[in-house]
Amino acid sequence: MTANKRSMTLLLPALVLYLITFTAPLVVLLVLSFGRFDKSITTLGFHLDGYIKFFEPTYLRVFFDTFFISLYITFFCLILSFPVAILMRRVQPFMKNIILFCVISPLLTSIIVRNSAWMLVLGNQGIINQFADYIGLNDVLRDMGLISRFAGLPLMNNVFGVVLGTVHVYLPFMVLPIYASLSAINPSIEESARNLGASSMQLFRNITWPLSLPGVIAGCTLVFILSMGLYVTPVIMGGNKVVTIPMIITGLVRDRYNWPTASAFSVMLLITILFTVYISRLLQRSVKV
Amino acid sequence: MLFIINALIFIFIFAPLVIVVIQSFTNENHMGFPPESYGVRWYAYVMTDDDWQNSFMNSLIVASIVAPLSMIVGGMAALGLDRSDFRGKQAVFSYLIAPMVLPHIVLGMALFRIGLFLDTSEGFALNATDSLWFYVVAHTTITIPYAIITIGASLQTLDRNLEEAAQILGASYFKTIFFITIPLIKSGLIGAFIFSFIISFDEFIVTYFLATFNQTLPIQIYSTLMFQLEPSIASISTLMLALTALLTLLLMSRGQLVSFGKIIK
Amino acid sequence: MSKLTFENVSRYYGETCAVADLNLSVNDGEFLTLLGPSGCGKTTSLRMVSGFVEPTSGRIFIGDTDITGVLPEKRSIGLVFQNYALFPHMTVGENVTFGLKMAKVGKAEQQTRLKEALKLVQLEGLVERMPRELSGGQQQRVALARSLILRPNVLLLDEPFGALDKQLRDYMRAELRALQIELGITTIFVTHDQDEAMSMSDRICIMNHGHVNQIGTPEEVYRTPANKFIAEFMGQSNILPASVVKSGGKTVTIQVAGATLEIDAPSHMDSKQPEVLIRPERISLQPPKGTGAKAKVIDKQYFGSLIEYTVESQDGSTLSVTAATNKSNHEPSEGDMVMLDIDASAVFVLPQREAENQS
Repeated sequence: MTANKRSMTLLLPALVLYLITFTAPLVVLLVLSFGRFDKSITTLGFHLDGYIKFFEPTYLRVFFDTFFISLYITFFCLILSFPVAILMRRVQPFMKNIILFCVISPLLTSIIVRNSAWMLVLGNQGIINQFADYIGLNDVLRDMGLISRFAGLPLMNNVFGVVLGTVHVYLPFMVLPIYASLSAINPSIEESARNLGASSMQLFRNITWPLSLPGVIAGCTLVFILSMGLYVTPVIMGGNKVVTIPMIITGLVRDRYNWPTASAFSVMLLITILFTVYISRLLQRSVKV
Repeated sequence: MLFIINALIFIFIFAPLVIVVIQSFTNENHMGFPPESYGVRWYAYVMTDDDWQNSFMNSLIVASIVAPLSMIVGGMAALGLDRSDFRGKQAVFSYLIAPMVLPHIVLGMALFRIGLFLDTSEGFALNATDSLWFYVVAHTTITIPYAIITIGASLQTLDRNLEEAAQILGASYFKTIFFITIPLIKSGLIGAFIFSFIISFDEFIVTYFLATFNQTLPIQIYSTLMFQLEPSIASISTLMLALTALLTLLLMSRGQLVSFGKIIK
Repeated sequence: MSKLTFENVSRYYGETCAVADLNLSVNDGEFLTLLGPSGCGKTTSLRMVSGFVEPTSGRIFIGDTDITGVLPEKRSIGLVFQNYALFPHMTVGENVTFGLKMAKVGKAEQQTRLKEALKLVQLEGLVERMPRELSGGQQQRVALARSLILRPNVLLLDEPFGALDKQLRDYMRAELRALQIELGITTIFVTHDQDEAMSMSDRICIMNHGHVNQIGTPEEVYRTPANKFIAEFMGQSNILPASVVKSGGKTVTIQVAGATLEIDAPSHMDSKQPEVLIRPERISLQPPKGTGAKAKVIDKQYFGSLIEYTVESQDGSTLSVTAATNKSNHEPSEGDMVMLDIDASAVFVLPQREAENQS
């Protein structure tokens, strides 16, 4: 047997595992999505009930809510990532590693842990509201009728809370690709631009930003995709006030056993993601230097 | 200016975690910041309470099996991808890392369906859902892409001449892998092990679909959280933080965080 | 017994031909160099011997054994890589005995042979060192010892001096050659450095674009190159257009660079306007008197023991001339007129047709 064939056999365990735990489930999902759900009974066939339901105004609205929340998340991740990536590029290797550690370490803590941390900060009894009460800000706002009598600043249980919680979770996924792009830029390009009299803003707009675009696109794609499929944070930080597609899907499966509709929604989610990846590829190609 | 902005960003990243740690040492019955009195009563509670203990053990058992499994299966796949050359190799690679971008909620519900099928089908009756072995299978699927990329990155830095040198000195294909390749990509293997462990230990959504009584730690936290904001959550979170921070430091010392940067790229 | 033979060996990568119909025998104990620019097929040829590349067609023999298709680990060949490829996680001793361990040789014998091998390359006492603690020359010796301990039939050297600085390189060259002669091991050496090739080889095989252009002793390929490519590749050269004035008999009279010379009739004179090769050291510059070919010095550079002149002859061709810095030599300055004294026995008429075929 040639070395090439031997090497190919090394792929087998992973491929076999995937067949059972990845391909088969997805195929089952696809089949179920064309089923029909009637009186708590799922029958297979070729029905478009689930897909039709997806386009009902209620669900379509949830889809667009999810879509726009994901866009906000992506946008804020992007804004926060750039300063970090630029700093990482400027400091000594040792400092760079420390920043890298700081950026990545939250990624390795459970989303649940991080979200519950935010509850302590942002909740009605959280430290920000305690502080606002203490300095009397909340009383002023209550008198003006801007916040209700028993509530504090509306920092969570709304879209703001969800976006903030998710940005906190996915920031590393944006910082790393942008940093990777930036570090590929030859420092002498920037130095010579400086030398030719470019200001900081001009430098950023004409040099740093265009050259970092591949990383920006990669990061945005990743954060957007991940946000579209996120369940935990909207539940914890949204407090039933924010509804997203993953929450609908989970509810349909866990509470109602409505597999066809849940599957159809999942398929639509996957299509959105595949479409995003496709767009991202097109963009990547168009910015290739 | 840049430093100030960064300082604010890092406060944003770390402040909540710091608050959790402080909160975990409260001696009160309820959360409140800053705590009025300090103590370790909630640590004592989570360490002696049956539910917390069970879910912690479940998470530990699952992650301890997932980590080596994912390292071995993912390592073999990474090696196979690195060493072979065939049409459609790029497609196989994309397929093998697809679970990374597939929403885990979709994977979770699909695996749940397969689990139900295994539970009820005659001839199988495997008790898949709600059992640890099925969590292991599911988590391994999720972690393999990370293992493949981490190990793949260290394979790329490996000098292929070393393997050829071993071969010409009489080492067979498998002996070469055993004596040369594996020792030289050790840090990648350890990195894959730790990554897989952490991801499995922290995994929520897929397990959430599969679990009813056999809870893992993240699910136990979640259900407690949904019930009430009890200080036990802060204590257990701090314990999890400590564990993952320790493992992250290990990863750092192995230089694997850099390869994680490549993952995302 | 360990003669190495290539028989009609070709290697294609898709449509691209890396090695075309190679026929070559390396005699037992011979030191043969594969020489050529990068991409000439020399490395592919070496890799076909080691077994990491299989020929598309043709066969390779060691002695009478056909080794085509045999796995690398079963070929009993020693190979020293350009970067030595020492196993960084093993000590010198573990590196050197790796092959013995693979062959399941007993511990005691391993130790005896390890001692022998390290003594051979003068590395006794470094057994416990790690490769990164060694100098470049020491690393190379470890790589050699690691190959030689298995007593291979053939030793392959893939540009082993590339990573060393110049002084060490000269030293290691001599040492390696001495060792090779002592052991009498059939050796193929791959390089793009003609100095290395000339100083070490029994024979040189010059390759270009996958084809063998010439096989011969260093002197043969230097003095009588098979074509213009080799003439230019092997050291400095003046390749000049000449015209035949008178031919017939044992000698030919030609005119080149304004000089008229009577040379021995070459066997391959097939043009009235051949190109001739004259090495720069075979021309000397004399004070301009008499009727000889005149030229003007347009550049002069000192290289310590040598001076390199560039002169323009009266017919407009440019020649380079090297002269030893020697008291007795005439040393003109830039702009001076000189007379060219060309050693007629050093004029080599390039084989015209073959040169056209190859390029």
